[in-house]
Amino acid sequence: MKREIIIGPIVLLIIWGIIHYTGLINQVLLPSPIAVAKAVIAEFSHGKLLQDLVATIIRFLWGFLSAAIVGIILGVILGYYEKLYSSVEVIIDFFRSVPATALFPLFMLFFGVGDFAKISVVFFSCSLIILINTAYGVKNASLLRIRLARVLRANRNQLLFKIILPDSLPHIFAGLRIGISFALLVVVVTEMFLGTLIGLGHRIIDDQLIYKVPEMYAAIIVTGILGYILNKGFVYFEHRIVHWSGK
Amino acid sequence: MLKPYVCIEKIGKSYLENHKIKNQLVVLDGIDINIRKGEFVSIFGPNGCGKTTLLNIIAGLISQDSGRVTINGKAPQEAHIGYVFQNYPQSLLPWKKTIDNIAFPLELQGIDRTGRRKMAKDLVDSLALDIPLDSFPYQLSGGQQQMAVIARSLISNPDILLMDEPFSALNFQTRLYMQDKIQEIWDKTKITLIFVSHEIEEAIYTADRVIVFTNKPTHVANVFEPELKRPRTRDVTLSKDFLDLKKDILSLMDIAIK
Repeated sequence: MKREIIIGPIVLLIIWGIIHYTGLINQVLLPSPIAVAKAVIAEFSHGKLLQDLVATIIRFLWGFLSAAIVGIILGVILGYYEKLYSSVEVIIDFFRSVPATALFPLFMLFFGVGDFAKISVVFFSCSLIILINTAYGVKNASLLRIRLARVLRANRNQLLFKIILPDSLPHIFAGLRIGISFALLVVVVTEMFLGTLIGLGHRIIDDQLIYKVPEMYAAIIVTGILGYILNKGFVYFEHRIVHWSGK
Repeated sequence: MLKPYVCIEKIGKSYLENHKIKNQLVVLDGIDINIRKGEFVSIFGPNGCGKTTLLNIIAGLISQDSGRVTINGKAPQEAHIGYVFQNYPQSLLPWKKTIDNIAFPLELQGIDRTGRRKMAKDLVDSLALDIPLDSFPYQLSGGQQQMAVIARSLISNPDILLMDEPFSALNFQTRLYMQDKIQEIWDKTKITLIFVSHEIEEAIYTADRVIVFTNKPTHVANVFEPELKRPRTRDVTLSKDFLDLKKDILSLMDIAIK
């Protein structure tokens, strides 16, 4: 890893510190980096923040993984049968265009305010994007490699599992990558609604309501780190699996 | 009379332009070619004359409108085909190592991994191909990709090997090398080879017989037999026989494409 990557974060912390200590922004609204760091440690040490983190991760995983499984399977089917895809394309594009959070109140009506409603919204928000990317990848599998399979007299299963599916992996992974960002966003937003007692979104809104500002920053930073690790981890994983992508 | 190994009889093929019946474009207009077992045949003709269409028909990928193809007594769909596509680099599977690409036809036949890898390695060794087998296709040079594709086309002992302008994307030096290499491979494997080329020197230099196509609607303009002894070396391209033949073909082309 390159050493210069730490320069940016350090400069950001210094600027933050300068703004805080010079009082350029109300010190109550922008606590010092040290106060926030202390809040992170304190919040973790009595276990609450960890609890919130775990709750958020679990909701995220349920929503994202179920969306991935359903999105990939349906995407392959729709990508494979072009007529089927065309017949549902408008529906997919419509629901994809509805911001998932706009549907949360509706989901609450149906599923109540518990985890199931939240996970459903996450599922809804990511599954379509994963589905679309998968179908696109399957539809656009290399014609030349499909011709190769035909020359080699591959059967239908071989064509699907040994040519088309691996060929569409870069697109599937692109869909999953977008899905991860969506999922985290939606989890945190839904946690800010009624009926939630734990979760990072709940922690952030709660701290804000009672002016526990350093604690609020601590929760935001932990959420950011979670998102960062998820994204970076996924990209690392993606590069290892679809190593040929873009080459 | 003994039937030729590959029989291409009166092949006709038209396409509809813009899907309109009245805009029927005749591409192949009664192509007749007979090929002996183990023969190296090159097909030379103007761009867009339907050489690739003919190869696709021979490979059983598309069907002809009229005429018949048999390969070793079999219909194209039943025959075992080795096909090096024109843009062959994209026909390599980038998610598989080179050795597994070469062994891919065997994988489809259900041969286990160890067995097929050994067969791929043996083939590469026996043909003295210089390919890094443990690399992925995108890590290979153009010439190495080419050799990998040729090895893949040969691994399951096809009845015939089809090559569609295989060397056109290679740089000059590699192209010369591959022109010699393909003759060496052909000599070792005794494969029946149809080699489509748009380079006249390449067509003459490599083949037993050069079949010259006309423009659309395409038929065989003439057939030439370069009587150049094998193994051929570069200096043959400067010999009188070679240059005379080249001149004949070029003047024929002048007439054929007018």
